[in-house]
Amino acid sequence: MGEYIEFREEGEDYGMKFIEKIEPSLGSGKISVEATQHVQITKPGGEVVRDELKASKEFLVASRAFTLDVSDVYSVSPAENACGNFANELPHITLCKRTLPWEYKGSFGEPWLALLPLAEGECEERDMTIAELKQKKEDIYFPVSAQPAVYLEKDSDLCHVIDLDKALFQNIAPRRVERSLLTHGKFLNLLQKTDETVRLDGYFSTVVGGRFVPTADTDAVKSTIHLVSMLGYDEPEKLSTDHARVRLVSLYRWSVFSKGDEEAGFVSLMEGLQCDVLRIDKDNTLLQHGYVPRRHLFRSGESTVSLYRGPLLPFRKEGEQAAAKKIPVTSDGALIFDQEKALFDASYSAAWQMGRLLTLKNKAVAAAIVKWRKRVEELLLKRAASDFMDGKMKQDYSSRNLAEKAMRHMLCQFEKDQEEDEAKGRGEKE
Amino acid sequence: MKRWKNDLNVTEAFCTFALKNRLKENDPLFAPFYPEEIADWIAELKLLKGVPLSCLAGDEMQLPPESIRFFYVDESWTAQMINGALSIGTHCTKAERINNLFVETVRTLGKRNIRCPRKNGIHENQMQFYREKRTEPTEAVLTGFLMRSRLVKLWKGLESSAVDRNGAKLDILRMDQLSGEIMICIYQGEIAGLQVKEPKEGLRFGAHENNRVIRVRDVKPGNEGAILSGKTVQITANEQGRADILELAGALGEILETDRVSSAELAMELIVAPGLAEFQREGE
Repeated sequence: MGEYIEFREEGEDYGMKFIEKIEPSLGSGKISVEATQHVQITKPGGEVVRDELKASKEFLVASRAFTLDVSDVYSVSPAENACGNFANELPHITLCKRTLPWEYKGSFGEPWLALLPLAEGECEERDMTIAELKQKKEDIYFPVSAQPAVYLEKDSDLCHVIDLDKALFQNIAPRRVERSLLTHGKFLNLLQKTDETVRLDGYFSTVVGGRFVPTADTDAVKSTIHLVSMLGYDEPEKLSTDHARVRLVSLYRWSVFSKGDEEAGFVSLMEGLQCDVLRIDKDNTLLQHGYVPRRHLFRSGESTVSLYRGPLLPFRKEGEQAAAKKIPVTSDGALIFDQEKALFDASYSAAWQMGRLLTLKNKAVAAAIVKWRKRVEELLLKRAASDFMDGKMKQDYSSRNLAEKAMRHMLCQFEKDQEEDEAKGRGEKE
Repeated sequence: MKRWKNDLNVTEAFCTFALKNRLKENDPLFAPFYPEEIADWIAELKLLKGVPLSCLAGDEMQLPPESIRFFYVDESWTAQMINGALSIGTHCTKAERINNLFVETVRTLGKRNIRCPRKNGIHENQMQFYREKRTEPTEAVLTGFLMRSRLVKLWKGLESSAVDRNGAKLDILRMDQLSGEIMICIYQGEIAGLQVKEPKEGLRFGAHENNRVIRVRDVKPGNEGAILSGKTVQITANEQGRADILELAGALGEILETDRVSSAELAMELIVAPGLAEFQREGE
């Protein structure tokens, strides 16, 4: 494996590593293995006998050269049949088979695959048998001699070919060195993906296209992105042939639709966002403060227009309002009447009702609240009684008296407290 | 003669007396009587979970299409909601009195558990990324934004991060898609700046925006991915759209100070950084 580099951004680890190349340990073609064994025996008389045993075996390593197993494709970008503005995007394909781009090699050792995005009409596509493909053609150029001698397909198998103008091909095909640059391996952390994906070993190979996706300004252009075999096209710009057209084997292909004025770009959509605080920006103090007028139906049947403001304020307001500290018994208890404007403010009334309705909907919590209140009550009673036992009532210990006296004391205390509270309340109002 | 007293008043008297004399808010004896269930629910109410959109923004004009709206959460509003929640099963003045005695404590519980609704839902695999910032519950004002845009629909998995006026990162308390195009996000603390990011799982290769310029990233071990500020390269292409990768590799080699740019390094540079939009409060 070649050198690798981890992809991080602003210190964030994406769990992704790029690897320059992942070459197969055996190339493809005919491979021979030779084994030699040296034997040496020393006889009792001191005589040394030597012998040599030799064996050799030949075998073939082959892979597909004209077709691709669809299950070898992990992902493509832009997505198949995607619509959008891809004018600045170089398409790419990620293959599960990590060594695939290096299984065959051009005459300079570069990867044999390239990704060619072709607009509709730029090429003709058809299927033919491999046998037919390998026949010499008069009207079209195909480098038969550069095809591998050993491959996995049968000659009767079908493959997909594209025919395009030589000049166009020379203009858009990646150069020899570029192909090495546009092909890399990668290692991904898959732990957060589906069960199916987690079974993969995490190594992939990627081929990036060297041409931006063809795009027109107004109409969507349909492009087909072909993963092609470049065997025989090592240096497309130097291709010396009289043929006007060339033929390429397309191993895999998918279509996208690209339109220049499609504002699907993230940044352009973001820049188009109108930014403000939550209010209606009109020359009105109430609207500026987030209030809106809403029709208000009273329980008694009358209707009026009241002010409403949701929980989201356009400005900072400190703390909880004093009005929210004493619990209203009904939502109407939280209505605020603005004497100056002669309008009701139903905001907090709506809040009260919303809290009650949401909690009623959540049965488990509603039950928990009722249960909790009961237990608090029990506990308070116990605590108060034990206070009396420990403190004031110790000397006069008789159960009957205790209960009576405790009650009397409690009531006195309670009434005193209430009076105090009322006095305090009056004081605050003044 | 037999005598009887109304039990209700006795209970209330007990309550008041006990509270005034010995009971403190954080009396350990009371702890088991505030079930986490209730505390979490109060926190959810404080984060306005389940509140319909029409109640969040009273009028559509407050949130027109393609807009982002910042807000402060009204504590009085949520406090009143909690009052409404406590009103469940309140049939007599005794229960009312208990509600009034304890509502303050219940609100404090909601503040204490304000992170729980989001935290409880995080998958264990993601917990390694979860870092809790310690803030005093009292100082934590809740702020956030509503976003109504096609972005919400087109980019599943948008990411947002906000900072306060001192540049400290704020914790997300809630980030929800309320409908196809509307998203709400609530933070603990006062937003002064916000970044909304494209999801990073959908990586693409190519140039960033329309001028085909890429911002060069560092490839040195230990500093991989850091944007080298001010260093940009334009990808040139012929009229047929073929990008000049060789020229690009040469230009990158100059900036990165290497003789030979490898395919791994090129991939690193060509990856489109997830898009990012920044919002800043005026006067910051």
